[in-house]
Amino acid sequence: MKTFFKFTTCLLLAIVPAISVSLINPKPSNYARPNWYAEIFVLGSSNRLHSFCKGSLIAEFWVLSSSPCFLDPFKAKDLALNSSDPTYFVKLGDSTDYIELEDYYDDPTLSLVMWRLTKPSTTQPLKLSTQTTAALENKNVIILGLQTTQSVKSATYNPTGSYTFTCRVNGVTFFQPDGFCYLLNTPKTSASLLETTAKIINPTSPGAPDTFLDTAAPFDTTGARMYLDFRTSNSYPCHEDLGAPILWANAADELEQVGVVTRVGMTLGLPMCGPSFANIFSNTAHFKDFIEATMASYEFESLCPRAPTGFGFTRLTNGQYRFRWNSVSNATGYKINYTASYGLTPLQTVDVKNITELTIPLLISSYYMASISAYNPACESPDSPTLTIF
Amino acid sequence: MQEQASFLNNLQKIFKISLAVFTLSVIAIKSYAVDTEGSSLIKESSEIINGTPVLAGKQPWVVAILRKSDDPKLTPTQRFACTGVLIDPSWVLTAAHCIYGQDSKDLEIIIGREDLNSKTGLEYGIADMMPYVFYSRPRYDLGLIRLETPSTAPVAQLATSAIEQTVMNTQLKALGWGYKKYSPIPQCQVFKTTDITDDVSFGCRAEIYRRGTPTPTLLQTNFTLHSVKDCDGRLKNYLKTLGVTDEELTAPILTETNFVDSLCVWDDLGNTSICFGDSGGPLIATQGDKAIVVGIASRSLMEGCPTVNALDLYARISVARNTLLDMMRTEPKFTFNQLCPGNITLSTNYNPINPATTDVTLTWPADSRASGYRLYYSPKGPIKAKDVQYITLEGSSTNSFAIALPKGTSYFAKVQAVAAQCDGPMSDLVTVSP
Repeated sequence: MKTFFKFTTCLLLAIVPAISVSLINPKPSNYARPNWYAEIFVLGSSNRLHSFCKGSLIAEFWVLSSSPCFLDPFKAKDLALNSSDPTYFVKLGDSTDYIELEDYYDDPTLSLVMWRLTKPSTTQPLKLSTQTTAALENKNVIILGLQTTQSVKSATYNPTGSYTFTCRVNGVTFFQPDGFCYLLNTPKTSASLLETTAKIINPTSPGAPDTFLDTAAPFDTTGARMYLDFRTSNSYPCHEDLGAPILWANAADELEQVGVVTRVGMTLGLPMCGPSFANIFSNTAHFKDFIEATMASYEFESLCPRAPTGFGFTRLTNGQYRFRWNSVSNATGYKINYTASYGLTPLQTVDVKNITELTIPLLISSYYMASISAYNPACESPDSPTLTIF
Repeated sequence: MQEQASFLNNLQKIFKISLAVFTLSVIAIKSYAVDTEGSSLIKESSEIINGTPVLAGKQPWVVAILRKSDDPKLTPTQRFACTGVLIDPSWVLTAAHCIYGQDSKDLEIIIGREDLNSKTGLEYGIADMMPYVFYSRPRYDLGLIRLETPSTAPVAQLATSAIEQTVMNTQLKALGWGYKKYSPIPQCQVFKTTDITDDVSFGCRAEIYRRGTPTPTLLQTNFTLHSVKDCDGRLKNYLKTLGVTDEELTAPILTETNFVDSLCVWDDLGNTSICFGDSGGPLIATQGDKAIVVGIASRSLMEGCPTVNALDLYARISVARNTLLDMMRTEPKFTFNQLCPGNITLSTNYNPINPATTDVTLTWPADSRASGYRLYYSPKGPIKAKDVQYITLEGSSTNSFAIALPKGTSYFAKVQAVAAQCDGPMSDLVTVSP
């Protein structure tokens, strides 16, 4: 085990305006984030929002981002992620309105994740390009980012592949059997958005950075990935920029999204950023079907009502029980299942049509379990959490 | 629920006063009692302080609940989670807070191993865990664990009210693994909240604790089971030491009604108590060669660890007995959802017959719980819910759907199984592209 190297200075993203498609004469300035630039936050303890991932608004209700955000060791330390069901928010552009995110749909094999907003955004989404990886070869692209310091404080190399080699990153212990072990700094980020350029290259072409030669991830030949060379600009995104859109100017000089920052550094989710390291990103045109099907699938599911909330009961003086629940917006009726004695049969199902209360006689000497679902002609909701009645 | 709230409100009122007057003494005492969810005066967890080791085979119904781990360096003592008691070949009784929110896959049961570092006894997987149906932390702190395979070890019986009557004011055996000695580092910031949920309203925040000395040995001690009235008196005596005045203590704090789920025990000699470590251990009465579980270790007044003022609270078996027996009669892992049809995996087959159209067949495995299936479809592309149409296919064996589509058209589709009680979830979206 030897010390591999230590960073003494960090390479920074160039400070230039981000909206400009002209990179020839960049002007340092503080400027507004474009409204489609999305910063995703996770709600941590003490109601604090922690920046979690970047992304782009691609439709009224949808933000496209990177699933490796979930692997980033900086995020793993976040207490909020110890929660089984953390709450996420998104800030679009410089808006002060943090929109809660309803859910996310990811495919780790694609390195992409789609976030669904709980309310429609009011700003113009970023247009997705139809340019394939092959068509973009040798083209310059633009990346917007915030991180200004390296994530890595020091790195050691573990050539033996021994499992006794333990890495500890911000209190998280992990094994890195064959490769690098990193000590991390909490990276600094810029208040204003920064911009850099890179060239999309064929990783097998002469002169391509040899750090693309990573046995863990063989060269992609499907067009799913884009290999970016930052050596000319010497300015590159890092882990806090995962999920950020990769842009290019189309023939009409409009910015379009051609990719997503899905991988920086040598190892997926581990921080080692550099101009010639394996900056392997995802092409969005290639994943058009995933994006389209995710949005369509949500529309299909939205035919079903949500499970009713607030399912409860009161015991009436005559020994009967009155069930109540909150109405559900697209439901035309409700069904109550109940059963005596902790799930012992027989099960009773009552279709109560479109009212939101039901009174039934139950035996006082026993106890019951009950749940409710909402339905409409197209679909029935899942059952509500089970209620126990004594 | 009403009684419980007023009980806690009473405590809150009392302790708020004591906090103001005796902040310093409270700090010192508080350092004993903090759990992962903040802090509380009444602490869930127990260990036998100053107990004596149990000889092999003398209490074969007492079981250890261990966390599973892939790390071979962790000793069984380090993996130890809670104590429990075998009450049926397939069922272990423990405290609800030992299993609440836990995944049964992460725990295992050890039966017949008084010394956790030994190899005696057997390990059992867990099929199912159920907190007592009326568990509302910290009330009715009982939980049932169903073993994956039945044990042949002797079992303990559940106490009836009649048996509980006969053992009132007598000595009962308390058992548990855990730490013999406990050395807290008293770093405590007292905080106070104005609202109350299920615990008293102030306590420590950000304490650092040093765990005690682990013992791999099952320990036992004798406690006297006391009436609610005696327990109320002891609690009040303790509160007086905190500066609560007689005036404020005229009304009973603990009553037969608000304390109906719990039993109160302590060692009359003041030598032993339960404390941090292994909750869920049984309080056992012996009749002939039969062991009868009277209570399950739930929580203790925090100062009682290990002091002469110990006041240890056990979940009361006699009031829960019938419901526990009912719960043990359930089918494993009952949920309403298990009555619903399951998820569907769709596959598509293309059978071109004529040049203008393509015959597409969607197929899926039949589900015996289904009375039919519903097929949802829309044109492929950016769609809205209103673009989605559906048809219902009757019959549980109708597990395919054939359609002739014009060439060049593409559709999205999903299928769900439907049944009278509940429908299954929608399948993943498939794209039908002739």
